Parts: sequence; structure tokens; C-alpha cells
Amino acid sequence: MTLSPQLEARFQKILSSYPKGRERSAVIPMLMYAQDEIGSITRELVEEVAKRTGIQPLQVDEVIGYYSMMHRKPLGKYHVQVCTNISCLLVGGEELYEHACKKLGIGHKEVTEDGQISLEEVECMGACSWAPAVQVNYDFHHFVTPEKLDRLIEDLRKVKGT
Amino acid sequence: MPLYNEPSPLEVRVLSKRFLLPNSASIDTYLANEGYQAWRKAVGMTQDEIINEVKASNLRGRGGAGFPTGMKWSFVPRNSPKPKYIMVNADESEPGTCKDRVLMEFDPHQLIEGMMIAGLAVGSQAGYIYIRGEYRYLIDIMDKAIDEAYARGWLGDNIQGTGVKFEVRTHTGAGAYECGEESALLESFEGKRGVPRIRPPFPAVAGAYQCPTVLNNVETYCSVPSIILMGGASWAALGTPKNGGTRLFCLSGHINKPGVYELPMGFNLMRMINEVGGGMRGGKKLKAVIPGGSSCPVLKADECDVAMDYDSVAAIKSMLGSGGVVVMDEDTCMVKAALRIMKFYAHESCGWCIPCREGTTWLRKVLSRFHDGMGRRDEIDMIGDLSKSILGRTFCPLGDAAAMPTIAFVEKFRDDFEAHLDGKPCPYENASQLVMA
Amino acid sequence: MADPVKFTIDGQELEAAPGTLVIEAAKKAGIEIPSFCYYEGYSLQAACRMCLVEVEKMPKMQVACTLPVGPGMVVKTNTPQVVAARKSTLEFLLTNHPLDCPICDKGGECELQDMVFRYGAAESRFTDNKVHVDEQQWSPVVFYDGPRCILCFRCVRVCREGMGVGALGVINRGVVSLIAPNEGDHLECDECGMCIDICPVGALTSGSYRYKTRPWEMEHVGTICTHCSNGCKTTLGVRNDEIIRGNNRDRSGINGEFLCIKGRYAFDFTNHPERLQTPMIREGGQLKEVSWSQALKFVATRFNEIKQRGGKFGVIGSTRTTNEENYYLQKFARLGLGTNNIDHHRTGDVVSLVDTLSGRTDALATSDDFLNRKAVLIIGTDLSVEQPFLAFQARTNQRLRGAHIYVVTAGPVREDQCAAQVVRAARGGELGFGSDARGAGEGTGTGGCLRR
Repeated sequence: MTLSPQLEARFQKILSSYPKGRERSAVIPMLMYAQDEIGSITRELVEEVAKRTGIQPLQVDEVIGYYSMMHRKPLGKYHVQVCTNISCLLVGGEELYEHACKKLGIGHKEVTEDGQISLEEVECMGACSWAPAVQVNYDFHHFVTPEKLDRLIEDLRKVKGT
Repeated sequence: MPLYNEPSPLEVRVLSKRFLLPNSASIDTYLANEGYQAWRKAVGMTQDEIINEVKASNLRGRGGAGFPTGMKWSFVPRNSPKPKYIMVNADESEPGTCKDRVLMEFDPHQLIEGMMIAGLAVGSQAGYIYIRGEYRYLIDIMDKAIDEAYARGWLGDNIQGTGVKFEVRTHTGAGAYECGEESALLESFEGKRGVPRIRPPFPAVAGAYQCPTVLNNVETYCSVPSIILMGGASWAALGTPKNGGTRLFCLSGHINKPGVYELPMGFNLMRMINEVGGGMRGGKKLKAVIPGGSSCPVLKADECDVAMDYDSVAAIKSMLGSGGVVVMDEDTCMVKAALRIMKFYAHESCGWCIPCREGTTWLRKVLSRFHDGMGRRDEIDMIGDLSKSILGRTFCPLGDAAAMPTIAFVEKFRDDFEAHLDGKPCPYENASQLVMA
Repeated sequence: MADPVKFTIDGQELEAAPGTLVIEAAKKAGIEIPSFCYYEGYSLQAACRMCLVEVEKMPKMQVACTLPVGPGMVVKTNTPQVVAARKSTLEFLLTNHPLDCPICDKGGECELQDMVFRYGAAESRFTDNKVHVDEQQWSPVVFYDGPRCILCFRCVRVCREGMGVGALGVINRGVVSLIAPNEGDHLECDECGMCIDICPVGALTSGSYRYKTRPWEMEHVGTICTHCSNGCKTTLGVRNDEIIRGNNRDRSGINGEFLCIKGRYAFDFTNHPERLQTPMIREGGQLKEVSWSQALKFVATRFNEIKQRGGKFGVIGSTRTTNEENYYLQKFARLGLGTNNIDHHRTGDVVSLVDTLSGRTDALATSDDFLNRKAVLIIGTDLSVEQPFLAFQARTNQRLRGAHIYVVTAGPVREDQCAAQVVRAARGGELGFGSDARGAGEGTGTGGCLRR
């Protein structure tokens, strides 16, 4: 599998973080960074990571299914994650999530038709004191109201291209 | 305002003393404000002296379990021929908790320095910071601080010409609460599913790559430089006997001023809610508080006049845990709270052992049906009974974390459960929870 | 040898070697502690929690499968707390386990059935919907029924640790965890069937046995598999004169519970339509069925004709026939046909072997030696393919006792994974290495397959 120069450099950096003979530690970081670039974890990527870390593809499969952030199907360009766990629940996280479903016209782990936005109801993301909390890809948004969420989604919809 | 919430005048800023400085994360700010001086002092101490200082501080693990840190470090076999590792648990996923985030964001070098001192104490030359996958921006911040430290000779082969060597790398998680459990974290770090290990042996003896490993929470390491600089006993004196120092409390829920605040151990919970947290939102009455993250049994309003330290909260059959203080007002449905928390544990259960894997999902289904008004009276006791069948019987504490809060919800708020019987709609359904824009 | 540890289980004063697990110590004393995931010889899991027992001075119940006996330890396996724990573990398991017993192949031989029978949980308080996934076929032989799976991970361990293949893994998390095959939706493996037989329930079932019969409807006959010279015992299930299945679940015979694909499945020749049932003679281009006396007379007449006119005979025997049959064959060849031209389809270099033995009858290794000796030297053979049981023994030896495996072969073999040293030699030249080693190793006794 040919990787982009940035991803190849990232893979090398990751591998160099661990002592010799401990390449398996690189599995999860490799999958996470590759997923960001490729969009999802493909069969090709599984075999590439397995080869580079000296394990079987089955052992990479075992890892993918376990972790919530790993997915085999592409999500939207912008993945909107709304927390509904206890601290966010208490200040309207659930209503916010339902509002997001209506606004986007999709449900949990679904993608809009144009592939631009996807939605997920997530567990605690570590923003409890500044709830309700939303993450778009890796960016945090605090004290989110339905109105704020609407504006956020509008902005995401305006962004086209890379 | 650089922080995510206004600071409180009642805060005692030890760990967070640099948070409000401009460019607080930069190495220049750090060096200009006592940065890396604790390490310098520790280099001149013996391993025993460092560990004794930490023991004297009464520092206890800030991740949730509250195990005495000095004692944990003393378990590492000094003479082991294997390499030793300093592992940081930055997996912060306990609902109600958001403190490790601000520690890494606003003072990343403090964490590095804490790791380095731990390295000196046990004879380790390498450390890893396991950061939850969702905290990608913090991985970038830590990587930047680490690069700064290497560039200025505070990490690497010959730190500041002392001959001491220490390496640090970050390592990303990928979305799994169970990886906050120490042995599951090690499995995940080694590239596998985050399933816990059979113990003994414990990480101090056989941890990362089966080598001796110190594994502590971010805040625990961050406390170490202050302990070395001011001396363990002085640091301990900031708190209460056997519960030394200060800690970051995460206040959330139905209060006017939710936020992360550094307060001395033993600070009274009611004062925390009213004086630091600005009192109940909308003038409502307090109904319940989760004192230390969702794994801790809920406290009724009349139980909240308690000192927030490990021993005092344990004495009233709950836990200080991760310091996640979740405040609930009179319009909160406790069945909903119990349901949402159980939904979390069922989703995060790693699946290794039968009682947790099957029990959490069963309970989630029952609680869901219950909240929808389709529960039976005898199921109220069954919920408690099933939880007790999980408690103490699982492979790791996640089962206990799911069971204990559920038992408390049923025992202390039975009325809320009974109010959902016979098809009755949830009495709290109409109270909109949304904050005003 | 360290002093034995003294401890008590259920009031019985016992002793055992230090490091003995409580579950094993109890078993030796005739006290049964139930378990699904603990399986002797494979890595410890402590996953099923069925073996929880009370131990004095320990606040929580302990799992007997990972707890070593301690001096003065007092263990109780039948207190009300332990009984309640077992019952609730089974109740938890039954929340998602489907009530398939009437149609499940494992019915009557199922460890979950046995446990529920013995330890309760007949009544379930679960009234919600069970987690369901559809059954999958992973290979001609292996079917996986996710809902029945209790996630004991025995199959994963036997495939990886026992067979050295590692074709099974665990995917997903929590209650939706499943066993998964190495090619995503199917298996690329030996099809040995070890996973099917080690499965305590009917999660893994055999494609050749499914829905054919109930186990109590078969007569079980122990016999020896003849597909290679290892001599594994296989227990055949027979109904209406038809062999329905083969396995060795009773773990009898030298092979314990091991069987390869041949021992387990290759009995279908018995009722194969093309199997020769009577002798046949070709007459006019057509094969015609004849009686034994007709056939033997025909062969004898032809052999005599050839012998009369001074023709030469060559006899090719088989390493798969018994020693007794081979003895008679060579006797017939020498005395009957008057020839010494006897050979066999060579699956091993018998000449070199005989040479090496140099008349020492005590120097031949047994399959037990593969399991117990300190080192095993494998020369010029793909052991897992040609002698699967011996390969299993050697691998088990390496895994449990740290034995050193040495491999000298032309190409990669499965034993490379667990070998202390691997040498690649030119095909046909493997023994070149061996003869040097024999010279060098004679004194130190490193000639592995030969006993010292």
C-alpha cells in the first residue's frame, strides 16, 4: 500500500517511539492517524499495519472492533459528536442531540447524503464543567445551545472542497 | 479569558498556579516560574528520599482509586535488570471529569517534570503519556512541550549536563473507557484490545512490556514538582490528615458556576456547591450529588455536608473518586440518571467477564423499560439485586463502578422509581434542561 | 524440590506443590469447581467467573483458576455465597443465550446444560429482548452461532496456542463481542475441528454433523485413525451402520483431546459410493465383480506364469499399513515371489534412521517424549502436515515446559514460530546438517528425536 509522504513520515515517527521488538505498540496510533487521512480503516490499511508491526491481520481486526473511534466505513467530512452522558444530560445534552438529528436529518452514526456531515451520540468527552459539549472531528465546543449548534452546522455546510 | 470558566477566589492554586499566566504552556513561562527546579532538587536526592517525600505528602492517586502514591512507587523492584517505565494515565473518561484536560493544556511541562521525578525515584529512563483519542489537540500540545523540552536540554540523553537520561513520548488511545483501568491501559498501549490483565503481578513489577512500570494519573504526576519544592509535609498540610494537598475538582450540573477549581482536600461539599459553584441554578433545591465521577454512589442532599477527601467520603459509603462533582436539582429524574449511567457502562464494558458484560446490558434494558413506565414493582428490588450480583464478582472494577451507583440510586431514591410504575409518565419529563443561550 | 504447601478445601486438609492452582488442587481431591474458560494446558483467563470460591481472610470471593494454593489457606467451595454467585453467573449467561437446546447439536453434551442442571438458574428473571446475530458459516466444517457463544475463548486459545495457527480472534466490545475468523467472513485454516470440539456449548458446530442426529442416538466406538502413523485414538459416532462423526472429546488414547482434520473427519470413505466393496477383475475392458477366491486364484495364476518364465517382481508397500501387514507382505515377497525388491512410498528416510539407530532399540522416541523431553529436533519434515499429533505434542511441550524446538527444513514450517533456532537447508540436504550435528552433538545428546 502506498502512503502519502505525510502519512509515511507519521508512521515512521510512531514506530520510532517504541523500543525495538515492541512494534505492536504502533498499531493503534497508526490506525488512528491513517484513518484521519484515508477516511476509514480499509482492508488494505489493515494488512499494511499488520505487516509493519509484525502481527496477523486478524489481530488488527480484533483491535478495530474494540475501539469506539475506529470505523470501517467513512463518516462525514465533519463528524459531529454530541455528548449525552450525565453532566451534559443534566443541562440538556439529550435535547441537543435530538435537535441535531432533526436539523441534519440523520441519526446515530449516519452520514448526510452529500457526505459532508455525520452525527454520533457519544459518551463523556471530558468537558463536563462546560456542558453541553459537542466535538466536531477533534475540535471541542462548549456551552452549546440548539441555536449555537444550528450556527455551527450552517458553517460546516458552507465549507466545500478540501 | 484563557480558561474555560472564571476562576474562583476560593481556589488554592498549587497545581494550577501557572494557568493564568500568558503563554502558560510555553517552556519559557515554565522556566521563569519555578519550572524544572523540583527536578534539579530531586537529582540531588536519593531514590529513597524522593519516595519518602512523596509518602510524607500523603498524595493519593488522583485518577479515582486514591492509592497512596509513595507506596505505589516503592513497589517497583529497584534491582530489576529490565527497563522501567513511567506511564501516565491521561485516558480521562470518567463521566463528570475534565481536569486532566486543563492540566495538560495550560501547564504541560509540569506533567513532564512530574514524570521525570518519578523516573529518578524508581530508576526509569523512559515514559509514555497515554492520551485518550478524543484529546487529539492535547496530544499536539504535549508533543510541542516535549519537543521544547528536548530542544532546551530538559529531556534526552544528558539532561542539563547531569548525565541523567529521560525520554518521553505521547501515545494515542482510540475511544474506550476501560483503557483507563491500569492493566487494560497497558494492553492497549501494547497494541491490543483494552482488556485488563490477571493480577498479580501488578504493573509495578510487570507492567508495560512486562517490565516494572509506575502508572499514575496526570494530576498525580503534576502534584509531584510542588511536593518536592515545598516538601512533602508542607504539601500534606494543605489538606486534611492522611489526605494531603490540593486537587482539581470538576463541578458540573445544576449550578450557576460550573467549572474546574483547585481546592484543598477536605473542602466542604456544600461550600463547594454554594460558594465555589455559585449555588443552585434558578434557585432550585438541591436533590443529589455524585461526588467523584459516575462510579461513585450518589449522595442525597442531606448527606452533602461532608469534607471532600478520600476518607471522609468513604466513611459515608461513597468515594472521592476522580473529583467529578455532579450536582442535581429537584427536577432531576433519578431513574433517568441511573439509566444513562448504566447505558454508559454497558457500552464501555470490555466484554471479558460474564457478570459485567451481561449484567450491565440487562440492567440498561430494565432501567430503560422502567423509565418508559413499563417496569414492574418487583423489578425495583431486582435492579438492586442484579447490581449486587455484579458487585465484587467481576474481573475488574468496571463492574463495581456500574453496580455501586445503581444500588445507591435504588436505595436512596426509591420514590422516583415508584413514580414510574403502572405506566405513569416520567414526572420530570417536562422540565427542560437546556441552558439559556 | 520445594516443600509441598498445606491448605484446606471444604474442611479437607490437603497438600500440593507450590504454584498449584486451587482449581487443580480441588480436582485432585475430588472436589469439582465449575469453570467454562479455565482449560488445562491453555493460558488463564479468569473470564467466566464460575469458579469463584470463598477464601478465609480475603474480603472478596476469589477465582480458583488463577489463585495458587497458599500455606494455611482455607477455601470453601460450597457456601451460600458461592452457590448464589454460580447461580447468578448462569442467570446472566442465559439472558442472551438462546433456548436452542431442542435443535442444537450440542444438546446432551453441553457444558452449559450440565452447569444449569447442577447449579441452578432454571428460572430466569430476564424479560427483555436478547442480543441476536445471524449464524455464520466460516468454512465447510466450521459454523459459528454468535448468540450461543459464551465467550470463554477456548477456541481462540486452542487455535493459537494449541495448533499454532491463530485463525480465530475476538472482535467488538461488551455484550456484542464475537469470535471472528481470520479472513473477515471465513476461515483459512487447517479445518482440524479442534475449535468445534473444545467449545463447551453449541456456538461452534461441525458442517458435516449438523442436524444429523442427537448424540445419545449414536453408538460410540473407539478406534485408531490410520491416516498417518501417529496412531491417534478417534471415537466414532455410529448410527444405522453409518459413521456420523469422529472426535476424541473423552480425551482417551495417547492423543488426549487432540485430533487433526483426518482423524476427525476423514471417515467418509467408509460409505463412499466409489469405495471398493468386493474384488474386481478386468474382463474385456470392463471391471467385473468377482469373489475373493476367484480374485486370489486369478492373481496367483498370473504370478506363477511370470515366475515360470523368469520375470522379475517388485513390491511396493505402504507406511500406512500395520507392522503386521508389512511383515506378511515382505515374507510373501521373499518366500512367495522369490524377490528381495521391496520398497515403500517414502515419507521418511528409513535408511538413515536405521543407520542412526545402529541397532539400539531403546533409541526410538515415543509421542510422550515429544511432550516431555527438554528439546526436539525436527529435520526435513513439515511436522504439522505429516505428523500432526507429534507437532501438537512438541508445541505443547514448548509452551508449557519451555522445551527448545530446533528446525532444519528446506522451507518455512509452522514450527518456526516456536523454535529456539531455525536452519534453512537445501531441499534434500537437510540431513547434511544433521550428520554434522550428530558428530558434534553425540556427547551432549542434542540429537532430538533420539533418546539419550
